[in-house]
Amino acid sequence: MIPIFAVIRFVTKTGRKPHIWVPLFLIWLLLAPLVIVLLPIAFIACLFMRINPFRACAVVWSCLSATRGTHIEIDSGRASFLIHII
Amino acid sequence: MTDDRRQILDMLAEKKITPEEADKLIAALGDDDAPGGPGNGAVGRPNPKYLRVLVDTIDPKEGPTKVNIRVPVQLLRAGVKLTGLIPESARAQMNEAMREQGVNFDVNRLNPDNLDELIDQLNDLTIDVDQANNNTKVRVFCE
Repeated sequence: MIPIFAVIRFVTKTGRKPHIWVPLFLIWLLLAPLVIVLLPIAFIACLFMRINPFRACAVVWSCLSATRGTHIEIDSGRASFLIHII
Repeated sequence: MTDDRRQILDMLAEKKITPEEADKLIAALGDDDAPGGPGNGAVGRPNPKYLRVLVDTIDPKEGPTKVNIRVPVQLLRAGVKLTGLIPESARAQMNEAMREQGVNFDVNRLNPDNLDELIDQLNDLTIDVDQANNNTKVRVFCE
């Protein structure tokens, strides 16, 4: 299953560290029409590169799905950043 | 191989103990140290789910800096599958470029067949770097 939410934390100018929940499923919905438009072009490009387009789709989907659980947190004196993909 | 196992084998090589005694001692160490045990990823410990990288350092300008990265092992699997999509001509170029940089690695060998073996071996992976002068600690492990 592809990621649904991402939690992002950063330091604001006032020094606060708000947690922002990004609804990724809305981004996927917004990107869906673009993907549908680009799919034939990608399909032709795959055939041109002698790559199985269905396999390419499966691999891209598995890469996207595998990002769930990724956690990156950097905390230093001046900067602080966190991204957690759910 | 653990230190205990090596010590037993050294004692056997020096003929301080008989092969039967060595066998008993190795068996007494437990299944974790036995060949084909979890150390080889067969049974026992569950497969690792995440690759963790922890960095703890004190930067002269920034002060204390901590980095905590957790990457799903599934992403490694997907990444390796992604290499299967690289055209052969590009793979040859990649191999050549790595060879020029002194990295003797063949991208063609990285395939899903030997990926499971690689992930099994990650179970035992722990890299600890501790630089006292720079106050830097780096830990890479699987969980």
